[in-house]
Amino acid sequence: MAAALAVVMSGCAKEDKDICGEWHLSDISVVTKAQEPYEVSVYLAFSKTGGFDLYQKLQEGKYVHYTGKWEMADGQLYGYYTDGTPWGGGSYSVSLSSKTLKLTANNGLGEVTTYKREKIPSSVKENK
Amino acid sequence: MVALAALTCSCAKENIVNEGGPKPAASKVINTPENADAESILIYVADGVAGTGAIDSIAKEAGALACKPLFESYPGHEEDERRFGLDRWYKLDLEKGTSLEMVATALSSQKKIERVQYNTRMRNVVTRRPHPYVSNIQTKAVQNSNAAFNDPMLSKQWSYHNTGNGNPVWNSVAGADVNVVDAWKLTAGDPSVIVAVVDEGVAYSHPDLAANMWTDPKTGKHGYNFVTDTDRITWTDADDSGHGTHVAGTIAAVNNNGIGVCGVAGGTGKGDGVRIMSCQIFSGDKGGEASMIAMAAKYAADHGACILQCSFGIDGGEVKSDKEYMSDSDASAEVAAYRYFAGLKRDNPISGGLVIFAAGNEAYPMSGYPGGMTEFISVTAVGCDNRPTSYTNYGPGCNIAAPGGDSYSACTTKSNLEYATLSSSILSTMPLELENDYYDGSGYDYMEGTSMACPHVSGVAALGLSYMKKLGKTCTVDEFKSMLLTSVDEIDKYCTGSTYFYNDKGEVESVNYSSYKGKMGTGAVDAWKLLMNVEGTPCEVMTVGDEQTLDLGKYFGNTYKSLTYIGVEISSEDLEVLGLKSAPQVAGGKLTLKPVRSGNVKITVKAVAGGQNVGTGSTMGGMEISRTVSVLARGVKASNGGWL
Repeated sequence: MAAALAVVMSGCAKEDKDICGEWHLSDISVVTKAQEPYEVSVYLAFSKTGGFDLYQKLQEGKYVHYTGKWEMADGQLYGYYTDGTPWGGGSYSVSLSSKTLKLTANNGLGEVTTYKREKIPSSVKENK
Repeated sequence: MVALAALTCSCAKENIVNEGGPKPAASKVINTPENADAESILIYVADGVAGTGAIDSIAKEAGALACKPLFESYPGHEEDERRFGLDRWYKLDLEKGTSLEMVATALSSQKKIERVQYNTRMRNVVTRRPHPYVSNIQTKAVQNSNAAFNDPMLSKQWSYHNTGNGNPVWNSVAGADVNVVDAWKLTAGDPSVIVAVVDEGVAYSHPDLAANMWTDPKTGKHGYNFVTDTDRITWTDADDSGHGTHVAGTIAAVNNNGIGVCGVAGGTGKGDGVRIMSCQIFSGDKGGEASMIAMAAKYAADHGACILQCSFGIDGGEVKSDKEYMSDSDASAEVAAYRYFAGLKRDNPISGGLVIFAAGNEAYPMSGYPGGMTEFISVTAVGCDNRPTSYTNYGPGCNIAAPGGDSYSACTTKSNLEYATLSSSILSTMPLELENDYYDGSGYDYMEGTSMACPHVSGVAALGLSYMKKLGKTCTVDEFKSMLLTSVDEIDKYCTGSTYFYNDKGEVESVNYSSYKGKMGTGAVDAWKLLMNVEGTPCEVMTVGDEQTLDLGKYFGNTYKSLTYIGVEISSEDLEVLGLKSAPQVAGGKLTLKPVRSGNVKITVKAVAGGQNVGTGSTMGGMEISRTVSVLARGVKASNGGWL
């Protein structure tokens, strides 16, 4: 009981400052027109053990689930998918507040995506 | 030959009048007296004349018994009535035996009159009389856990869910239906969506219709009888066929009530079906005049209908262009009223209305009118084998197909004419009180025709509007028409072989479908696809620096490869966003572009719904439709498609 409590307390404490947790895409820097609906939906979940889950609804019209590994070093986020594919943005510079995560692609095009801390709905996980 | 005769007659008349009578202005007379009501004529007065005493003088001079405005003004709609010129139309009642042409000539010489219209009679579009179904139709509910609803005859309604497998005939094709069963899981209707059935009177007391009838809150009535100019709707007059009641049942027979049939948008049995407004323009062999139809369209708009269901018209080939239908003038009275119906701003998801016609049943290679007009939807008919029916019109002016039924669908050779069966026609409601040699009074019966295809499209459109309401979405009338006409399944591949049938003389005839390919409209209407289109298509994510092709199937339906695309529109601002020098190109149903910069843009692709050319007024053609593609060009690309 004591061990479990310690883990939970540790997770809560870290969540405010850590990338770990669940995130929902809220902004894409390339979009030039304010208030335009993106018509895309992306959820990210970074686990403390270095795994990630990505649920994206793009042109397929339904959520597609990806998994993979991540690691952070010197404020840079690195990762690759379970099938071995490297992330398209190469690595990302991370800007983190308690409720917002900003990822800036380091591939020269500088795309900035902003995510808000948000629990991933079960319907998304169930691919509905 | 008929046209030539009319022309000759017209010249002769002109010569006579020129000798001594007033000088006519033939261009003011917008149609011919052929098949026109003998005791009335319509006039459109010049600007500023309406409502003045000049009208009475004109009427008196023309020998009219009475003259009154064609359209009753509706409180709050006066500005729109003027916008569409409805306030300038008058109807003159004439004494029996009056020469219509003489009156028209006299009226057209008046400076204060801009148009003169003979009060042409339209016909119901029906190929064959109703057939009694003598087999074991169940009229009470049975337990069937697989059925969407508990209506016992639903299993006979192949046009909603066709499983093939020899049902109803050996060559039935699975999916040759409007694909509504899955759609019902999302919505089965909405009582605020009102469909005006412009037809014979609808039997509003029918137990399978009553709960889905619209009721005028002011009068308690379910519509209006424009034949008798009273609010007493009838369906048992001499020579009534049950046509209006049959059409109404396809749109909104009450679902899940344990009796009879289902309607495409008939709800779930909880009072949630769309509503039917009966706009009676036929009473047996009476009615159908342009004036009645015009008044019906205006009444429907004024009282909140958002779909005008019109299974009537002029046979295919009698009119061969929009201009011929309306002369060169702006509009006839009924066309002005259709436009009023489409354009009157009102509280529904499209803030306007859809006008939907049957294409006609003469197996003629162009649509009948008014459905053939470029701006209105014209519906062709397919059978349970997904092939065109033996009677359907096709070709220019036709926009979309739907099940209309054909009792000869199974008769692919002369030797299997014995397989002709009523069960491959369309089953729907009929007036219980009607009596004739072809109908047993059971309240249900089979009919076939583009008249039956048309309400399938009206019902699917009503479902789409219901779903928009549920999702809180809105769009323009044109955007909805584009969605509807691209929510289709391919039928061109079924345009092969022949159907054999007995003609009215009992002789065997056949029709070969190879020439129908590409001429039945965009495809066969699909309710599920419309609801998916209503939900919206997601953004297309592309990558900066790569040339990419976007398949347009999800925007233009299964027939997208064979559609004729007529343009791509992108704003100069959006071109700049993506760093493009010119608009992207469309070829073979694919949009190709190579974004240079990241950004989110809208690209509008235009196509022709029905044929290869948009109608011009002088030549019949399809309707212009457009779909908008939202593109997000990103600078991030993982080779497996992942977002990060």
